[in-house]
Amino acid sequence: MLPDETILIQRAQRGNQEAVTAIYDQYYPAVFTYIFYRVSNKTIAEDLTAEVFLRMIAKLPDFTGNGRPILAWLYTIARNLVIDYYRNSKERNTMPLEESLVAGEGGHPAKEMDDRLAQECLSKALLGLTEEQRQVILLKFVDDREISEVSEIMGKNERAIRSLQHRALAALHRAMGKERCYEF
Amino acid sequence: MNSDFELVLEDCLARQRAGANLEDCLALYPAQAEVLSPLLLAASRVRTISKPEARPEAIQAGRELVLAALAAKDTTHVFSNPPISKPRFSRYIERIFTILHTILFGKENKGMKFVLRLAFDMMIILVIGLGLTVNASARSLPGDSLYGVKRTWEELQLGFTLNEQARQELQTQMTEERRQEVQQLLKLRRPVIVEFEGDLQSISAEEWVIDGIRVRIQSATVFEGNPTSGMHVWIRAQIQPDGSLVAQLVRAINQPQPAFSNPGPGVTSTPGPGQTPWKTSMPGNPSWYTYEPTRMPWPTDWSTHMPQPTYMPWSTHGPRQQSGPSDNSRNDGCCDHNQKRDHNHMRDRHH
Repeated sequence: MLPDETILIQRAQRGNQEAVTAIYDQYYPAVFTYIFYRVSNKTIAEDLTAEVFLRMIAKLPDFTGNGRPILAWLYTIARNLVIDYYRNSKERNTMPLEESLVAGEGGHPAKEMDDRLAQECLSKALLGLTEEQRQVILLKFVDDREISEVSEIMGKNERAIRSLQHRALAALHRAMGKERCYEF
Repeated sequence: MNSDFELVLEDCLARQRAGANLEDCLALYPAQAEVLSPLLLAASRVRTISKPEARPEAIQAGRELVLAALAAKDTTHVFSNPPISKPRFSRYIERIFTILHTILFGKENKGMKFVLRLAFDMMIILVIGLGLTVNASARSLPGDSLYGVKRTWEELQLGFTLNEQARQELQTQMTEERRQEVQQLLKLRRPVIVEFEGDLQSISAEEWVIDGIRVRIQSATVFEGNPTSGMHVWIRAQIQPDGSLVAQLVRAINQPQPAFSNPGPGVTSTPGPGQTPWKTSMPGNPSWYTYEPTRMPWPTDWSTHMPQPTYMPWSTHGPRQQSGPSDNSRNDGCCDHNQKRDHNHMRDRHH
């Protein structure tokens, strides 16, 4: 955990709104991406991401971190929330793709459609990976993080991360081929 | 090999991130190109997919929710880590009991493996046995089989007592224990060698009284320092079959001495480390008392650690002879042949 992050957490634990806002703004995109590629739905991902931070507030006084970054903790909360979501949801895809696209931002519908299809495809492909493989792909290639950062967040050494990355890319390539993600 | 490949892959991914295309990297590593190609392709494809972004209004709504939750939360609760709640404490206790029950009585196929359970049971038996042994050794005296346990336990207690005041109290208590042991041994007339310390109350030609314990002085008795009445002294003596105590070594300990020369009090011949600092054994702390030795292990090499020659009033060899036990090989003028033999014998007993 970085010293700045430690200070931020300590301030947040004391109920400082600015610190909480800073944590929210800093980690929201990463948490949202992680959840989005698990639920394949933007609206649900937004709701669940907000829920992650609400749980963070509830558990913040007990948070020690044990030297690991706060994002690792947020990922754990997110993962549990997604599991709960799937457990509680009888209908897995609560919102059809078209509806989710209609609910998307305006601008260039054709490009948005392509992006959304590609994201949807990647999302399906990622479902075939293990939790750790999925996490390393998202951190490394979606969030565009250095291997040292990935190593810190995942609590593994860099050698283990490189090995995991190798297996993850091999599995992802197979899954993307199966889902025809290379075709658009 | 695999590790090397992973480094190559990482290098290519870094190049790709910096803008190099797939072919450039494959050209750099032609031998691995076949394996590298699909991996780099997958990475490249993921990178080209735009990152999903939440709607700004959703981000703002989430932020407001979080801040509202923070405001609603009791600040004092956020501030401090509250003591463990009752339900949680109950859960912990329940879990501990469940684990213990599984370990002790659980069926093998449901709980822990037999060997592990057996090991745990043995450990419990060992701990209980050790506790009972230590308890039983509390009244043992030198010469008893459990006396070693008693002294070891005392050393452990000393070792684990870090608070200086508590440590001094413990050492004072141990010094008193040694004196009581001597008195009991004298009543029993058990022929053992004892070591203790106390105030030299009276001196006569043949008998000294140290804290109410009468000690006979013989020509073979060795003196270190210049013990005079009122001094605090350390004694090593042999209990005789007639119940009397014959001094072998008397050491005045009110004068500054090297710390390592403190053998500490003890009824056995093995004072060991951490024996009573003499200052603490004198609750009254008389004004003449200036010496406070540090805790040191019993010196293994007497020839180098013993104090320098001191006055031996009753020695037949004059006042300037070395009195401490000496190395066998050294002809240090300590004493005559018989005395030297006795010293060596005593030292061997210590070791």
